[in-house]
Amino acid sequence: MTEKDHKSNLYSSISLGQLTELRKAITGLDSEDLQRLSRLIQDPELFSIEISQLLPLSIKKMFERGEVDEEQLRKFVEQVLHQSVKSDPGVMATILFPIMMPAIRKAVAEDIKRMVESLNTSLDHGFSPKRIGWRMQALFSGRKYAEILLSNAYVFKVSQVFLIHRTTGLLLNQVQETEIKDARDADLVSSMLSAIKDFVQDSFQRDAEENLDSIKVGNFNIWIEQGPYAIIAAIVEGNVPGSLRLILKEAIEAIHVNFSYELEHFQGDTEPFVLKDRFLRACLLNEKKEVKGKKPVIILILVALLLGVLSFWTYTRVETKLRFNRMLDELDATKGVAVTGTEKKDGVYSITGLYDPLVGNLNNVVKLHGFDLHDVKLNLEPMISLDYDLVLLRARRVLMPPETIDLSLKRDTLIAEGDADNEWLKRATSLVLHLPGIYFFDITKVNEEKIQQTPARQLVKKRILAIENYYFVFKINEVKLDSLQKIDFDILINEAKSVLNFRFDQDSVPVIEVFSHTSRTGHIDANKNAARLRAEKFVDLMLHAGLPIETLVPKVIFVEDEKVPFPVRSVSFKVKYVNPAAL
Amino acid sequence: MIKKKICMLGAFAVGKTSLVQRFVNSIFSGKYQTTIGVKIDQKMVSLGETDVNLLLWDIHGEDDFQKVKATYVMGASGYFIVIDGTRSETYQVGLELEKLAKNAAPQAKCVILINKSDLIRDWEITHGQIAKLISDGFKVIQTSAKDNLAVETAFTELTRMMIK
Repeated sequence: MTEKDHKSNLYSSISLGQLTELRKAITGLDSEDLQRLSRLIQDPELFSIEISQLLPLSIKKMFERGEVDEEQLRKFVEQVLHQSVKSDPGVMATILFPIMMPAIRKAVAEDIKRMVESLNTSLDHGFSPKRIGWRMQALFSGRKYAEILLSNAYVFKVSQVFLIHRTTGLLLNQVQETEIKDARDADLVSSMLSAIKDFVQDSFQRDAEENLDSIKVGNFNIWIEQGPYAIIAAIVEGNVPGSLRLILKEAIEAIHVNFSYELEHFQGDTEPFVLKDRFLRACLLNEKKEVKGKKPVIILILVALLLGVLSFWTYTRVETKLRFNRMLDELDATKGVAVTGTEKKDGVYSITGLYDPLVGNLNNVVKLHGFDLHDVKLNLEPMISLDYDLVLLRARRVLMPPETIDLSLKRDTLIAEGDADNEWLKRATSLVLHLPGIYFFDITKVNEEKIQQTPARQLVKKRILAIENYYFVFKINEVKLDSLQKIDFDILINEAKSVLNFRFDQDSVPVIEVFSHTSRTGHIDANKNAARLRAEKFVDLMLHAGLPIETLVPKVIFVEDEKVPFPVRSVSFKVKYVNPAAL
Repeated sequence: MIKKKICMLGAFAVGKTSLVQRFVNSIFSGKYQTTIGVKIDQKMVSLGETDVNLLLWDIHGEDDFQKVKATYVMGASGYFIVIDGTRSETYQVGLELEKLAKNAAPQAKCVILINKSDLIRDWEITHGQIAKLISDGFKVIQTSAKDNLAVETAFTELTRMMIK
């Protein structure tokens, strides 16, 4: 009997139940568990689901036990990412897109902000005449100030030059601009530069002759020129001209010629290179933009325009000043006017002094010289002038001589010549000595024989004319007679009484209209109200002086409506004859 | 003044950077090691009347993912091979790097540092292996960057060997 036959006989002699019990005793699993395990093994999908539930817990436990190193895992992840990018960069780009775009936008926004701040700082601190000139150039040419600034600044500048031993990367010598204060440790920079050069060449070199010849870092360029034993690295700012390459080549060649032994047998001693640094210094170049001989047309136009405006402004000022002086001379030469001072404030001339109201309206003089009344203010206080002409004029106004009488003045004596009635003579004699500047009244040449021929009606008309020539100017919201006005007022009342006592016929009686003059400038209703009050107050004064109330009519009139305007805030008079029934 | 380039070589995480950091003050960030594979620091060492400016090239640790670039070692006057006493596999990596360095800089002097002597009870590097290195003519120094044991000595010794 073979062994196979023996086993077959043995299995057939054991029942299924016994086999199940035996399997459970050996494995510790019942048939249900075994069937489940069998399904898991046979169905990969089911198996993977089962494993996925255990895997995170398993990794966590491995970390806890220190079986997995984070650094190792990072390397693994990096390698997987690297492979992914290498095989299809688009997949990784799609994954990173939602993260990268906001980051890029933020970075760009930050850069722009920094640039604006930097420019603002430059603008704030850049007010030298040259920079103001550039600013004007930018304003009129439409170019950006920063652009003008750059075009007028350095085209390029070599700020630092390193001489580096090619094999060791050690710094042999370096030169720099004196104003660089915080230069990093040149030895370290030199070695790091050398390492970067090696790294780039190892990583990207396709040809043995290919060398790293420039590195761009922000606004800086690092230009590298290699020789057999040493390299030159020049730190350059701005737009680097191609000719700089030739200069660097010449420098490295000269260094190799002059230091061939030292370079070939370099053992770390840099002293020979430090002592002779003229080859490196020759590389410290800079170039500024040349000032072109031809001036920009826009600048010339601008200068011409500025000169034109300046000339016009100067001419206007001088002409105005001369015109003002002429006006001032005329005012000063006017009899009855005394100018005591002038002042210019906020573009307005102010003239102070004294004037005799008999002189008339001086605003006409101002206007005649081409000035607006807003540009020249006359602050003249009233006075009585003892000038010959004005004394005589005042005498004629007050005495109102008939046409047959001629008045003249000789020193302080008023001389009357001609024919006059007794009544005028009496009145004139009583009034004349009240007139300032007249101390004597000579009537020896008055012929009283023809008095009966002088009509009383003619005398009244003259008095009416005299009344209508009077006017009184007041300050705002005030009706108060000063000492000079008081004299005129007394004469006015006398004249008014004479006129009011005379009737041309039985059908009419005289009334005096008291006009208060105001302007439409500003608030019309307020002006009108103030003028009305002024007229009423003046009427009160006349009532107190003895004139009957029914003969006085207060009225308001706007100067804009008058053919020959009286001054604003003045009171004038008009005598009218009206029907007694109308009173 | 004399300037010398020296390199720190060794497997990943043997403590090269820690040794350098014990020895110098650096101006460059450690990120360069993971970008271009090297970080450079500087240290002045005075030996008698001679001042030596050491430029230390701390080269990224070699592992399965990153190989040491031979060009970084070229021109070096000396180099350290750093071995982690607690990891036996770093011994072999160190010997391979020594060959690479010897090839790239034949004249350079070598000192082998068995680092992490503060964990000497956990060392997997055996006395036999150390004795083999010494018998092969290497200068071997046991260091601890953590406890600052023999770090200064190691740099001074390499400097002395270089300017001899």
